[in-house]
Amino acid sequence: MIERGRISSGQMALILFAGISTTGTLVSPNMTGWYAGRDLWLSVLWASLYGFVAVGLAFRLHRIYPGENIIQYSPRILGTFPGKALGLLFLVSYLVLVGITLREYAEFVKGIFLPQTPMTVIVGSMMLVSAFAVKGGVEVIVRVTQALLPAALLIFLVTLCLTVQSWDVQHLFPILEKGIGPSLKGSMVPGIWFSEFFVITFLLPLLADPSKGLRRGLIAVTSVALLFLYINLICLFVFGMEYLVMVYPLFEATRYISYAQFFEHLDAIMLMLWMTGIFIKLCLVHYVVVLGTSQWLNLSDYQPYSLPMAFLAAGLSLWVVPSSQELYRAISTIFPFSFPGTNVLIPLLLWLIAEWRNRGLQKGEVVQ
Amino acid sequence: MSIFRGIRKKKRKKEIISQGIDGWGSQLNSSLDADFEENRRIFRDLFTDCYDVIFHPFRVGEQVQAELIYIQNMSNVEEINENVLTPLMEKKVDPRDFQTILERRLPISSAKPVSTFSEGAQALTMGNALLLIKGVAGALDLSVNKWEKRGITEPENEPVIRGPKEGFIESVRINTTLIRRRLRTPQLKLKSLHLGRYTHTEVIVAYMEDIVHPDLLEEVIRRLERIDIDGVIDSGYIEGFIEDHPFSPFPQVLTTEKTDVVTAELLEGRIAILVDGSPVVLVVPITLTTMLQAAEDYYSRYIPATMIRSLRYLMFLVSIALPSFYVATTTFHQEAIPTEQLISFAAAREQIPVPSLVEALLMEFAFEALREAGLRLPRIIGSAVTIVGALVIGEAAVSAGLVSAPMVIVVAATGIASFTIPRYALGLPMRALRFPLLILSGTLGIVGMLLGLFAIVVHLCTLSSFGVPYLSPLAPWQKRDLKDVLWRAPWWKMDRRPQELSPSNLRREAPDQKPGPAQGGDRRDSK
Repeated sequence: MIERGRISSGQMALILFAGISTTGTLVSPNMTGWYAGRDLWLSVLWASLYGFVAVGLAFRLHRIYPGENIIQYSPRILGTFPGKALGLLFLVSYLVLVGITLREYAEFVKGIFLPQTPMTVIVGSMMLVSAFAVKGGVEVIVRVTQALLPAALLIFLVTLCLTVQSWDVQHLFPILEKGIGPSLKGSMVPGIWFSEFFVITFLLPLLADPSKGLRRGLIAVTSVALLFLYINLICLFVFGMEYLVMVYPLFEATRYISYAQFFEHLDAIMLMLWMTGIFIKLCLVHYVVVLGTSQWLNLSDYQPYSLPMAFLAAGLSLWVVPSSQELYRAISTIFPFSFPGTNVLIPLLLWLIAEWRNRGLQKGEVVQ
Repeated sequence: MSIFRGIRKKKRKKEIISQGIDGWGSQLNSSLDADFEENRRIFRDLFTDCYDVIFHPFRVGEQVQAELIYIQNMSNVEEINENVLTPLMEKKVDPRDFQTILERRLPISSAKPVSTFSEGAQALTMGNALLLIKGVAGALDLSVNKWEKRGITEPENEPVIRGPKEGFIESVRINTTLIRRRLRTPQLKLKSLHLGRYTHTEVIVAYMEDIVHPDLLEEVIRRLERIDIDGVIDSGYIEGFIEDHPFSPFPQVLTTEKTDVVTAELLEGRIAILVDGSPVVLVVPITLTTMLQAAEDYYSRYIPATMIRSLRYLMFLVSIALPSFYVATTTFHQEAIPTEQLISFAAAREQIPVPSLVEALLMEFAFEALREAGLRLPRIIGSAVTIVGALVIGEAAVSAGLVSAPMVIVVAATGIASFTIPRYALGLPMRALRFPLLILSGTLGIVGMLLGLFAIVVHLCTLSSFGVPYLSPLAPWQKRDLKDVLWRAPWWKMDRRPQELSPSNLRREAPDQKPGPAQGGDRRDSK
């Protein structure tokens, strides 16, 4: 195996939690709301099913092919050519995910903090640091997560609690005004993030304690669901249905915080918190792309390709959508199908085929 | 096999170098001649033009020719006179071999036969005396060394209010005694190595058997034995050779002059490297958090110690990021500053012709220059620098409109923050990294500053010191070891050693030692 580093299941859960939730907290409430209205918090509950299924599938597949990820076992399940094609599909989809994440970050930073700075600089500088981290290997990435996340998460949660002075719990009602339909429809948007949990397939083979993998993975899904629930409720409590006109409702909500004429204007603090999360997400997904590509091409090492792939990802973030409007349109129309499609539906089919091909074999044996 | 190719290449290189350096080796490495005259001649040859080497011919038992060689002022002449020359020059002595002389005649506690010239030369340069006797093969190395040393003082760089004030000195012999006096057990091992082709510096590896991880010990010895250099003047030379990551600005070896610090680290399973001629002792492996712990944390009560420690962590961040944060907020994120404050900042910056980035760089540069000047100057002129610095930077620069008053405050606060870092070596990378971070935050605002900090964190995460991750127990988490990082646990709670260092001998104290009425001793109970 070309990755020699080992991580613990707790580290895996932490990096999954940070890597998946961050961009979701930034942009998902608004777009969920387009479909779900004031029931957006219910959508999160439905969407979390994607996460549980994705983690379960990755774990099942890993149990059949221990020590391998989807890039490695798909040729063994489907045969060389279709398997490699499927691997390529996954790599491209994760590369696109890096691009989208970068673009979301760049739109946020450019739109609010650095309107005059060229997009290339914002994207390039961030990607450079991520590539530096990925070059260090998986152990470095999880350590960076452990070093940065606890403080950032604590400040984030406390800051969100401080919006309590502008809460109006009445905005919650009526629940299920138009039946269950809107919230189900709305669940497609957070579903994008929950289906991303399938990246766990790249982390499971690296675990030092594989027996705890499934449990910790499910804990990660649950905590992301709770976090999404929390932020969606805050958006609703603070703004009522008005959050629909804001691109970053959670960020706007924190702007209302003002205590003692000193503790106010927390924009810069919020930027730091989101940047921390986005950085971790980029590290995770970029690592997956770099590692997967090297495995797909049967290379002997992956670290040297971190920087070249980073250039590709930075370029992709500029091409992937022409403007921020298009980005959010894509998130609310295209990605709800493409992400669960690649990350839940395809693994499900893959698992069924694997089970069918390995039927009647002893435990531990697999068809080559 | 490709892994081994690198090693073999290096070895070959080493051989070439060794031929280059050691010109006088062939003669030295030969063993002592049986012929007394020949031995005498060679030793005189070796030490020609060394005025301090004394060759003292005499006769043993009034008959047999003999010679005593020693170095003036390095050997104790009184001891030589009383315990060597006087007993040997008596009439009755019959010198057949060194063993009998040693056993019966020489009242010297430490002496050993020497067989080669290089051993003899080394013994001499250590201050020992060498005894040659006609008709007896070889020579005798008599340990009579005595030289001037500095007294034991309180280390000036690591002052404490409460706690031992004893510091190491330049003599490694004294230093090992200082440690041995604190750890009175045969399990304190002191392994001796000699490094440096010309200096033959004594290097002592100190560790606690049973506590230290055997792999770690082996690795330390291996890295030390690899060193091949003409001279070792200070432990800094050794540090440069045994680091894991030579290209990192961060120190990966703990340096201290305090005996109590070394003792405590040995008890935690670390290894100390003492170098003769240097009062600075190296301790490996270390983590970033050990560098932020002061010895005093463990001597004062745990609640104030915890508070002071968290203050230190905060100051550690401030020392690297405060100027950048100020530049980023005043240049890019004015909305983050409360309005009244912003107005006064703006008023102060009104007259300043340069952007705040340039202002900050200028001030930081001046501050660093001042600090270096204060350090290098003789003490007597030092106060002049302080006055000039206070006047120029504090007063004149502001009234002349070169820098704004808030910037002076920021730079001063950063300076104070950097002084709270208990290890001087850790303050240095903080000072150096402040400048690139300033430029980043002056160009990209908070985003740039944060990217710079991310890069530093990533770098710290890749670092390790003798295999121990630099940021542990924070990253990767070691739940049990966090008790000595996030807070300073009371002594009755710190019942385990750091996990990475001593997995086999984890417990360091008996359980249930929490004091209080439940432990008995409450006077009301005893009545």
